Amino acid sequence: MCSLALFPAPLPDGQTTLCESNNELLSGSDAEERPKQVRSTQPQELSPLSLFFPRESLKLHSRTESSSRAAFLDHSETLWMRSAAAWWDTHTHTHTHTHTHTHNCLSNIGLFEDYIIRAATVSRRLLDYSTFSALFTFCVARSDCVVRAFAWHPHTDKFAVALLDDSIKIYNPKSATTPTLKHRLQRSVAAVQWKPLCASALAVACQNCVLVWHVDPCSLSTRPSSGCAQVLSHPGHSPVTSIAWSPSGSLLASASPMDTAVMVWDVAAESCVPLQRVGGGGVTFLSWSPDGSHVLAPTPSALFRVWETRMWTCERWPCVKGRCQSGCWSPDGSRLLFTVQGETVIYALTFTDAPAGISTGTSKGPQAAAVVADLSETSFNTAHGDVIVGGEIQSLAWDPRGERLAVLLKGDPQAADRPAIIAVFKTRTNPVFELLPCGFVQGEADAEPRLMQFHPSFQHGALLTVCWSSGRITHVPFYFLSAGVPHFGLSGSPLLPRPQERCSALANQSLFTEMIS
Amino acid sequence: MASANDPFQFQEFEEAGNLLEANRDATTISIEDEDVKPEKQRRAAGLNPAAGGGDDEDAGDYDDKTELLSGQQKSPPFWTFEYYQQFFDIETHHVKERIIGSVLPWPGKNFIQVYLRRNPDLYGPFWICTTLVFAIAISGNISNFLVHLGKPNYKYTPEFQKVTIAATAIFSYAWLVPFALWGVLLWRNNKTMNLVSYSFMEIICVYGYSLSIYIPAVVLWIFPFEWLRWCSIVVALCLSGSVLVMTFWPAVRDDHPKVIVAIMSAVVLFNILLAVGCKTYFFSKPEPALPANNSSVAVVIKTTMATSNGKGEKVSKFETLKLLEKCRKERDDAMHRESVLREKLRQYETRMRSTEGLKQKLKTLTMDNKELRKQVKALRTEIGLECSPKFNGKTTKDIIYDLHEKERECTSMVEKAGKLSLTIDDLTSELANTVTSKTLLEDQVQSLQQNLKDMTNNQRRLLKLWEDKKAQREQFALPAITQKPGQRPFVHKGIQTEMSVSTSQKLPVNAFETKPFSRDKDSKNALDKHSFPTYGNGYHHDKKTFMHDDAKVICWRAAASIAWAVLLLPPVTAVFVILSRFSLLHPIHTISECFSLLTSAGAIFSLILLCGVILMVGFLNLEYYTVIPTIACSKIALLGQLLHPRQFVNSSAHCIMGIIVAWCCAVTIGGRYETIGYPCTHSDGSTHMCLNEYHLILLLAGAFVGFSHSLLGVIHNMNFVSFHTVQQYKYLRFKGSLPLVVKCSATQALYSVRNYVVVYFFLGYIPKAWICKTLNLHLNSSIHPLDSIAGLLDLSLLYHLWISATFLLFTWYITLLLFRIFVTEVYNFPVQSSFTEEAHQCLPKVLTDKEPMILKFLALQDLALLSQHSPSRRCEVFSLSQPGGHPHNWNAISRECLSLLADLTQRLVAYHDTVATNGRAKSLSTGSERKTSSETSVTSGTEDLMSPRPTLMMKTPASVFARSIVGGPQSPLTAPFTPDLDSPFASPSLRRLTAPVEQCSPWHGTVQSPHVMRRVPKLWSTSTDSQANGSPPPSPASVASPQQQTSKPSLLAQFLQNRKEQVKHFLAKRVLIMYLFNKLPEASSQALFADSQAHIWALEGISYLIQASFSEDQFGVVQTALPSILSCMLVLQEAVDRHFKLPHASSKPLRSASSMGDPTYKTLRFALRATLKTAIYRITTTFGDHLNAVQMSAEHRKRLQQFVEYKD
Repeated sequence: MCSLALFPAPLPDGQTTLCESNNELLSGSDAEERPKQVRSTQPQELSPLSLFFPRESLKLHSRTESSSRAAFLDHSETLWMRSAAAWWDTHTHTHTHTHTHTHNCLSNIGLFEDYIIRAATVSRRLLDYSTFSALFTFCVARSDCVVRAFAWHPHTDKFAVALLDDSIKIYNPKSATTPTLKHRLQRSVAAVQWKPLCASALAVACQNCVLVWHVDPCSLSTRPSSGCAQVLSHPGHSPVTSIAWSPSGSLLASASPMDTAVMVWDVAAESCVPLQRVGGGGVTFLSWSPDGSHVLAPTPSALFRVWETRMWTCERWPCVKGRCQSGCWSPDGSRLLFTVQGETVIYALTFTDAPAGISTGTSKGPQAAAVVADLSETSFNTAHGDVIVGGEIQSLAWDPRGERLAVLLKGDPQAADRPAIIAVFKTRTNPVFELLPCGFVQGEADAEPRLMQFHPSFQHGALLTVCWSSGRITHVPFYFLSAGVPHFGLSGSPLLPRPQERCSALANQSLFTEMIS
Repeated sequence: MASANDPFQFQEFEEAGNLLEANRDATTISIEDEDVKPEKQRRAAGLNPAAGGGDDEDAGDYDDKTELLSGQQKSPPFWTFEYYQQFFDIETHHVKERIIGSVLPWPGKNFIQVYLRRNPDLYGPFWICTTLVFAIAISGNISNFLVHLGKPNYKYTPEFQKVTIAATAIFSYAWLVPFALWGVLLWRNNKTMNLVSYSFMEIICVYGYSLSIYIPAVVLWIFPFEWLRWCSIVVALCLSGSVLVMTFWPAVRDDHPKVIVAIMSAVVLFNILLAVGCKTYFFSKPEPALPANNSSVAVVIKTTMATSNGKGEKVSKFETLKLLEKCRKERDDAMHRESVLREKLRQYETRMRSTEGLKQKLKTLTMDNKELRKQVKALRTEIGLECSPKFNGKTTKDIIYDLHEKERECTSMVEKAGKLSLTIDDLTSELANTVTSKTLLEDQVQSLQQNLKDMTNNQRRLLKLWEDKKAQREQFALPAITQKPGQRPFVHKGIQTEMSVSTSQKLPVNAFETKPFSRDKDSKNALDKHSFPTYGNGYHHDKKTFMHDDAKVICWRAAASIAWAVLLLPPVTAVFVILSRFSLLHPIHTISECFSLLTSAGAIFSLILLCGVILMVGFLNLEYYTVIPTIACSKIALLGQLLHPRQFVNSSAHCIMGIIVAWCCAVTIGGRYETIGYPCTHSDGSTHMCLNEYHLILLLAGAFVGFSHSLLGVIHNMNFVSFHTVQQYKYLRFKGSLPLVVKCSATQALYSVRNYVVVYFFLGYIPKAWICKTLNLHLNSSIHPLDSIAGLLDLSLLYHLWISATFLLFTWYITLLLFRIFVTEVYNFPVQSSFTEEAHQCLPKVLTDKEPMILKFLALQDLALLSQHSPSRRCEVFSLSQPGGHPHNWNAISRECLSLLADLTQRLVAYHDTVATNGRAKSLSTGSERKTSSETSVTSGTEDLMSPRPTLMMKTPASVFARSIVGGPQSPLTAPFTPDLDSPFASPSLRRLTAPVEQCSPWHGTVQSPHVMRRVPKLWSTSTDSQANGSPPPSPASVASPQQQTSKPSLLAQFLQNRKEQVKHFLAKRVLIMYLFNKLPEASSQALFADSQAHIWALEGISYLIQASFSEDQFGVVQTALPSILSCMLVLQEAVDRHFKLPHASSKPLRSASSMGDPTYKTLRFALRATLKTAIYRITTTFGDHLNAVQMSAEHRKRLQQFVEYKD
């Protein structure tokens, strides 16, 4: 098992992590000044855009008082809804007062968080505390960052960025135009994702619906009309906070923490199949395994489900301590890493795929989760004093080759010596599955990482894109040669079933559990 | 099996034998006799008749054989009278035999095996049940009469309701229980591979005959002795129960023990329930007389009341005296009773004492028994059954061991024999294969020879040409010989053109490069032609049977769905009863009333009726369903669909079923709705039967709702069965769509009732008058008529109408939903089979078949799923055939998919061309042409729409040919519900759209219209794919015909054309006609993509297979087909893109709020477009730069490059 004690010490202030080369993380005080050796040894690739969105540049919904709310509410809402909102305003005001955090949060965020908190307060009253806390943490995590969501295109170098003012910009290094997507229904964007095996389709999780934009890559217009967007909505399915495309590009799943059903959309037909199971209350996020065989769907309570996508049956996984905070799949879809709220460890589940072809119905999944890494608080003695790193984990990301695992640690916003930080592990599947320390990724001073994602088709290793609380988006490349089975250098090949790898994973299973004990 | 059982049995018998006899030899013999024989008999009766001996076994054997043989005969379908006729075709002595067989069960004599196997009859069961019904009713009446015979105040009245109740009970027992049992056996039979299975008729027959013993028993029940009745019940129960148990034992023997116990106990329990129920209901005990106490107490109360009122002391005194007397008498009585009871108590005590004595005796006896047992043990050791060291010789145990040994040897021998036969089978199949390959090789040799011949011919021709040229050159070289100057170049040109034609036809430039490829194809074609005969001489016969087999799958699924719908009916009915009778003020009273209603005979009868309705609905679903929706392109076409005779039959059936359901509703709601007539007094005092309008309005509402349901079914394409993209288990799917069904039925019922009320308000007097006249009823003038505003504004009436309509629609929708869920379930076709008999059921073969369409769809769905999920089955697709080394599976699959895609492309191109040629005249009223001239009606719709072209086009032989194909019977698109293409209401545009679908053979497009042919080169810049599809060159006749026609424009045609234009112009001004004949927006686009689900699956399947081939295809099977697949996809992509640029093509349909009709067909074109793009991307991302090595035309490469760079 790997722990943070094995990591190299974090960088002093003012230093930022630039890249990984020759098995070590290189740092520099200025992003422009790239170490010479990196330039000489690594192939000169097209470096992706680094962007900076200062908060001031956006026209935000500047509204702090609850009395002026009506002016900003969409008047397409019915009279009933407006009166209900008014009722909420008056009756939940005291409740929101009790949560000072919430109010701090409220002071500088837009309508969306407000909506969520409003919904959450009611849900706290009507439902249970777990849903409320899930929504609340969701809100806090996103509150101070201008970038609300980020998504790489699965096959090319373009990406979409959703900003706080509910607009989405699409950046493509090969073209000069950056289309900006705006739509009447595109409010409180929580997630964006590109459709795999398609050049143009972008799904956006909005407050009341899921929008699927069709952005023509050859088009020169900077403002695609709202006619390019498909609206997928289902009564009772709001706010949508997470979406996931199936890797084959045929289905889209969407989830809401207020709705117990996961919607599986047939986008072309605009029809959906609700997958509903009793218990849990809502779904906090969705993660489709890269081979398309499973979907992870955690609930706000101490329970998460793993759906099998052949016949859409699910396995229940009750956690002991808290709800499942985040999770990610290994590229071959056989291993699931997840973290639980209130614990500082990473668990792993190994799924042996059911013998396809024989429709046994229930795939024999793993029996118990194993701990693979311990991220409890560790103090590092640096030149600038002790720095405590560790604690709860906010999110996980695994690169498409299965070689690097990025872990976003929450830190403590109040304490200065406990910053939020990204810890990067090297992962190894042969001969046993284990995590090895790689290093910490840090940005500028006073900037905390908020979102991170690996580039899906980076040629020379892995490329981690991080959105910082300051509104900056940077890219940290990890240069390495893939040790595993060569990926043919093809983008999109994670879809390829690779039986030989599965076999090895199967063979290692017993060893793996031995090591854990 | 036997070895596991035997030791226990032997021990039992040993003990018995030891107790009885001391002789060792005798015991062994008795073991042999008693134990082995039943075993054998059972086996003979149940499992393998060949193993047994003896008369019974022989009979069973014979019956089995005859049954097997008769199974081959074709029997008429079950909805015809002929089907049932055969069950009444039986002779008297057979019936006698069977009755005796059922009355005297004999262990080992299976009733079905011995008496019935030849042919189950319905004659016996029917008459036995009827007799039993009347016997019960009559003897019940008689016994009732006998019980009350002595009573002075008893007046005998015959109770006729006993007949109905008995009939309901007996017939429902004799039909429903066998039905359930049959279902259970069928289900278990699928789970465990049981060898014995009974047909439904056989089970019914057994049940019917098993009731025959009850007839004498019932007659015995006339005598009012309880002991006699119970005795006869027990005897009858034992007999009939043992018949049933012995009959069904072989069918469940191999099952799980729990299931056996459950089934058997259910069978016995139902039997007991029937017998005891009949006995207790129809033959009541004589009730004891009422005790006198009550009356006297009542009198006391009365008198006290009287005294308190103070009427008269005298009277009261007298009364009290009397009362006192009575009281005294009662006291005496009580004393007397007390003494009697005391006596009884004493008797009981003495009995208790005696029992204790008996117990003591029992104890001593058990002691004795123990001692005896000890002795027995000693004796056994003496005999040698329990191994004693003294005895050495052959003990019984040894003998048993020997027997076991022998048995094991036997089984091993049998196994060996089986193996040997298997190897023999293998050898024969190999032999067959070698023969096949031999013929193949011969064919190849032949084709090679043919090629050689061709080449030598070419060579010869070339030589000739060369010589000709030589001669020409020489002619040129000879200037002295002069000819006419104008003639020479002409001749020269002619020669040249001829030469060029011949070279391009006979010797393509790349003839030598593509030779191996084309030869391969030749051999493949040759194989296709020759492989069918080699499958065996009866391929066509086989084909018919397997068609039957596969179609059976659908029928079974439909039957299962109907069975579930029937099972769901009782709870739904219960909910309906509670809802319809619910009153807020008396909730508990309502519930108890509902319970009593549900258990009444009338409710059971209406439930049986409703079951019949559900069966009928299910049958109609099965008959009318389609996987390709019929889309009417104009209002008139829709009208034509509604007025089609087939639809008329459907509507009237729904009407009748609606009436039946409404009648059941009326009976269950009760109250004022219950009967159609009621006695009423006229103004002049006479009584008549009057019409109950409430009953009538409910019945008519049922008919109306049924009718509107069937009409809406046409408009919403409710018979369209769509396949889901998300696979779920049946239960989950049902659960998920149940709320929608409830919502749909409630809203639909609301709309229907609203419309019905309006219609009844205006037209209600007609049916009322008619019913009155036919049934000779009167109208009650004192009651307000219902077809008035006041009458119809009755809230409770409206509620009952609505809830009945909801109930009706809900049951039907549930049936429909279950049908859809069951039919669209994924079916696994084997990719390849090792046996030639099953080769037709394999995926490649089913894919290429056209009929029935749903099988093709299921096969395509299976293809898409297997290519996505199942590596092992993909492996089978990529495998090579064993003797020949040909990728038959892949070839068949890819060819079928490509032909599907090419076909769609062709359709799109043709459509686009017609739109392009007369885009402005798109809304011309095509239907009206029919009225003007009978001559134009002969031409097909393609030419109709091309009206700007000269009339001569209409008379080309090609168009007539196309027409003849359009009307052909083998069109897959004229699936059940499509109106006949020849019907006058079908718009020609519809016909034109359907026309290209039918020509799945690629050559048809070349013949169909020369116009399309001329357009083709624009899109097919490479001719590779049309060549790859094996299309012969276009026939010269079709190309030549237009030129011939140009020479003679007829006057008549000119005249007709002018008239037509005039009429068109005239009609276009009339609004109604415009409304009727105007095309619905985007309907034609929908119709064009109506069957695109097949294309979507084909695209998915093919693209996944290609993706998987990158790592799994060991033999490079896919590589050869890759260029043609890619070009096919790209051409289709281009055609689809062009289609979406048309107006209305890319407009989204409105999302209907809630309707049971599946709207997925409206968006199929978008799904197809998305799937097509994804498929191309899937191939490009998988192969990446390797695609540069694929041979392709420059244009296609350009398009593909866009996909590689993600720019499309």
